[in-house]
Amino acid sequence: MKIFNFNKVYYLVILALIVAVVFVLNENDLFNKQQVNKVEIYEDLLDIVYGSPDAGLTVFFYSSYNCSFCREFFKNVFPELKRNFIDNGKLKFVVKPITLTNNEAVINSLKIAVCINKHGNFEKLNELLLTEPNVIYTNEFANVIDELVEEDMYLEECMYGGESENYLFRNLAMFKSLGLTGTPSFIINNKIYKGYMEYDKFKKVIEKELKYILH
Amino acid sequence: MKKLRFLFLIIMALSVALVSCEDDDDKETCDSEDLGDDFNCPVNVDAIATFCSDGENASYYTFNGNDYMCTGVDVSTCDNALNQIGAALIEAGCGSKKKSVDIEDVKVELTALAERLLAEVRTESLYN
Repeated sequence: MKIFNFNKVYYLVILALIVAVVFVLNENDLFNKQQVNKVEIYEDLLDIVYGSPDAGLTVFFYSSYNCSFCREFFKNVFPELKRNFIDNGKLKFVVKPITLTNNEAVINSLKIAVCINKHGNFEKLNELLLTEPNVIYTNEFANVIDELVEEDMYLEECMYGGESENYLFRNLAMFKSLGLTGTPSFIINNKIYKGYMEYDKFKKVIEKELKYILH
Repeated sequence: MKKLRFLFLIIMALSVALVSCEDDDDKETCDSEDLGDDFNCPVNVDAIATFCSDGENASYYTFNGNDYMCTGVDVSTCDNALNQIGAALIEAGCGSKKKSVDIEDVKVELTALAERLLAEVRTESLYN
């Protein structure tokens, strides 16, 4: 009685080899359609930062409240990202707000956002701007900015002393120098990832980049 | 015959492997465009529209919180969407036919949620 069929074993070995090769190619992104240019990017003092400074990996996120996919990312992807990667110290998430417009209301909304992030509690304002982005065009919003600025001299200095305005200019200059044209855009491990990603896709990218750092 | 079987097996294995590795994730990308010059907008009007495409389904623009659908993937199929955005911009003071309006005139209906959040921003944004 023949115990081993040599041909079958041979085929199985070949098959396993092929699957292994394809798996390795995929892991190394040779099949990945979305990619990437190598770039240099730095954290700025007014960036909106989530996570530990000691995190192994940093994600830079160019975002605008005008951009519906940025808001979508903050509402649907960021909470899971925070729970699974940021809160446990694996990931630092750096938001770089930008605007491509000279609209005073838009610029003021970003200035107050970065200033409140530095000198106060950003979460409520962030929630408002994500939920009702058009609120920035109302007198009511302008009044709130005035009241907050009146109450806090550091906020006032940040808002009207040039700090936040210069920061937005720097952000836009960096954004353009990277060759970016739209939001949302992510820079991870000095690689550019353009466009919105669902959580599962984003998770894969983060896990791949974390693995890359560890090796 | 054995060679044929072997070749068939290899092709099958490769097909299965390639199909299983195909990227089936969200491929949509978006780019923001400033339409201010195109629509002759005053500098105080926000004319940023965002074009989004996944390369397969109809693309669309988002502007001022609304989606404007194109008829195909390519940006050349977005005339109707751009016309609608243009109409919104003209209403906001862009275009040569209408005089500019102050951005303060472009108001939004505040929802109850926005009112609540504004109140919370007012009271909870500063620590002191």
